[in-house]
Amino acid sequence: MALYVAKRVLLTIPVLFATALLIFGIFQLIPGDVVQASMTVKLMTSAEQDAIREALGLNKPVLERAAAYTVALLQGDMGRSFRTGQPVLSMLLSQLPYTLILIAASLFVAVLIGIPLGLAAALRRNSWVDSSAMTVSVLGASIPQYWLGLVMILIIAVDLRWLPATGSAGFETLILPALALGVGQMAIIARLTRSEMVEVLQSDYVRTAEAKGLGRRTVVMGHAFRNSLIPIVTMLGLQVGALLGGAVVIEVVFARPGLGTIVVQSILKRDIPVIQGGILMIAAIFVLVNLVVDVSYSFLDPRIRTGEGS
Amino acid sequence: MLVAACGSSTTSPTPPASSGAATAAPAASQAAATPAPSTAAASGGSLIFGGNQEPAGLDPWSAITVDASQVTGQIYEQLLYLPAGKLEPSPGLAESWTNNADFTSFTFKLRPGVKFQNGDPLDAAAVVAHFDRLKNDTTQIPNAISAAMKLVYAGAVAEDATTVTLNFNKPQPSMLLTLADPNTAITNAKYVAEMGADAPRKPMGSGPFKFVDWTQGVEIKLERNPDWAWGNPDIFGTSGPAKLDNLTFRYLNDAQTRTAALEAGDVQFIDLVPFQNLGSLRTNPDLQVLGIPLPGLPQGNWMNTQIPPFNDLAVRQAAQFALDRSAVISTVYFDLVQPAYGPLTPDFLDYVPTAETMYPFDKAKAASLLDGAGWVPDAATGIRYKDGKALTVRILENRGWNDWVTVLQDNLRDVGFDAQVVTEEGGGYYAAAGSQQYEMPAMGSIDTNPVQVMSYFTEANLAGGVNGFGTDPKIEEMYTAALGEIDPVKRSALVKEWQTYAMEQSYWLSVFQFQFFSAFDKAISGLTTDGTGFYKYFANVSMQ
Repeated sequence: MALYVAKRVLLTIPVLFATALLIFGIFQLIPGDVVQASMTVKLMTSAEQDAIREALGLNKPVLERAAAYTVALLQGDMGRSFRTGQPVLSMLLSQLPYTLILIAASLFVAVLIGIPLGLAAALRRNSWVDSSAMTVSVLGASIPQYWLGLVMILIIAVDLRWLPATGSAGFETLILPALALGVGQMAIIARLTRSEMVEVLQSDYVRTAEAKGLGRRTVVMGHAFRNSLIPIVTMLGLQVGALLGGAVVIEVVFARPGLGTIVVQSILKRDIPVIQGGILMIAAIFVLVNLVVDVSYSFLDPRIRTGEGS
Repeated sequence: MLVAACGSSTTSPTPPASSGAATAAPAASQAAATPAPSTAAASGGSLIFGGNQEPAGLDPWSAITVDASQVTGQIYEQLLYLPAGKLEPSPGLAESWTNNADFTSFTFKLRPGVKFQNGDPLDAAAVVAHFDRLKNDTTQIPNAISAAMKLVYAGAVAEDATTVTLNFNKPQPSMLLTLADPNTAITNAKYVAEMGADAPRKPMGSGPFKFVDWTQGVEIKLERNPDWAWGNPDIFGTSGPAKLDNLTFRYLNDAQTRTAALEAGDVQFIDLVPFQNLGSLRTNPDLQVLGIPLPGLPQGNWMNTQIPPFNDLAVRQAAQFALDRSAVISTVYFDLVQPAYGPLTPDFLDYVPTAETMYPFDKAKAASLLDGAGWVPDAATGIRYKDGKALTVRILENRGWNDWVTVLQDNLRDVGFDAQVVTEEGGGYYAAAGSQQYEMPAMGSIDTNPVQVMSYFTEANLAGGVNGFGTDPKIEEMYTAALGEIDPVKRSALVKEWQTYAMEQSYWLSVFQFQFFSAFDKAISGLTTDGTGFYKYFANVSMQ
């Protein structure tokens, strides 16, 4: 087991390294640089342009810059923003908590609504409860997050004034974005919960448990639901990737700070160090979550463990 | 000059013939639109301004966006200002000023007793240090006004504690207008040197509000500067101190979100209101909408004469006839703006209406011109071809600022152009426009001087950002003559002649006059704007 975990951890290093170099390489293919893109380039002498390029480290050959970038990265230095002059790492780290909180809250929404919905549908299979729950989940999966976010702002924040439309200070500013981002995942969780529960409820061990005279509640929650959780937990981990992507849109709609917002802003302003750092950080989160999912899955299901001669 | 197409604020100190060249006359409309300073306003309160783009930094020397200038305008002060309804310099940090005969030397008598917010005196030595910093800093990308100023600045002299002389290596007849731009606000060079790379993120000036905190990606917080007591009431509505306790600039990049935030009460003031939201905001009893038509180069499109197909006059003229301005204005701008036809907005006294009837919407005429130029329509697609090449034009837009381009695209397709829209933003847009590879970059600018607008059409356009494609010797000749002409009557005649000629040659496709809409809580009183109507000052604002 320890060997499996160690191997999975070690494998993330070349993945992140290759990702970093790939991102760096892609940006070298873009013609021009930040000096050329500046609206005042025509007002600067070549010497002034060169001085700024030197200050930004843009005057060196690409391989030299790649090597310097890699070495700096290993030391935790992602460079400085072309726009603000701030260290990229500190800029990104200042945004990271906002995104992580949003993702965590969205997952909470997905679980809080999705699992009971799936359970109810499975336990009342082919009834109006099942149809209603699955209709809700289909709607949740189909509604674009951007549209849902705007509609919630208009109805709940503007018309009813129950919650703020924007901002990031206080729990109340988190509710609408978490709902908008979490509803899609809720639908997936609900459908998965239903299908797993339907399958498990037809299992021999469930019938055995019922035959032994155990109460319905104990059978459902203690035996059936517990076993259904394994794929649901795995799915939750994998959904973090989708939530990272969705957070980009939701952060913009609700004017929340976060990794998505800063990357989008940097793309629009061609602030390449921040784009590179932001994409790398998002990739690192994704790799890390996958690692945790892989490892936790092996804990939950021993058949997954490999290399232990099981 | 302010580039309305992108929200970037720039000014060139180079051009016109005299400071009196500020002949735009938006005074009446601005005076009507600008809320009068309130004398009965209660003191105190907090205001949250919903901004569009978070600034990269707040050093007036390098700040380029309108959003940055909105903040720096509260923290720093300029030597001069343009009061609302006027385009003549008014005292700021400078109480009075004189210049020599050839406009190469300007002497300013500074207001005594002014202090930076850290207690340092803002005296003649500080002003000299500020302009010397502008000349010597090579680590930042300057904004257009700083870059242009660097080219002509020859040094400054502190005559005494409150008298400073600025010298230039070329005549600068419009320097007083330049020094009334927020980008020339006076910084504390000593403080900037001490702060190093952090200075643009921790601004410190002498203005009515002090910097408190900047939360990346969220907001910039300011608080009242209790020491500020030297304001010009013609500009700020008060001599100070400011009435608001706190002023926060919160950034809401999405236009719909910005509007919703105002309606929900999250913020009390927004700029750049989307046109489609103006109707509902105007009927909201809790809100007030402020719209100011702005003078300058109207919103429109350059036609790149350097590459086909617009190197052919007939094709350029066909594009003019193809444009249906009424469709643009009704469908995109909800009949809230006025059409424009020539290279100047009608507010200028030098405006000539010749262009208004030169190219009426006439698809048949456009088609006929293209037929005559040898462009033959394909029977299946309607796209015209000549020598095997399609009549392709790429309309370059700056996202969020040039929404008319989709209607223009349809209009051009109707007469056989293979019109495509390419969308960029900010730096990407300027890189694309500056590459001169696009046939129709969308543009527009806010100017107080018609000769400045003329400069955009010249080959040696040094304005930065407003990239024309001119290589016409006659245009160069007209511009040079207007630039050097001291007599206002003769200069006006040159400006008029230029407008007609530029449109005969169809270098520019005018669409409408830019109008900047703000919306704010009715509880706000005491807001003032500058002479362009664009910059807003919150020193006299209070929440009733």
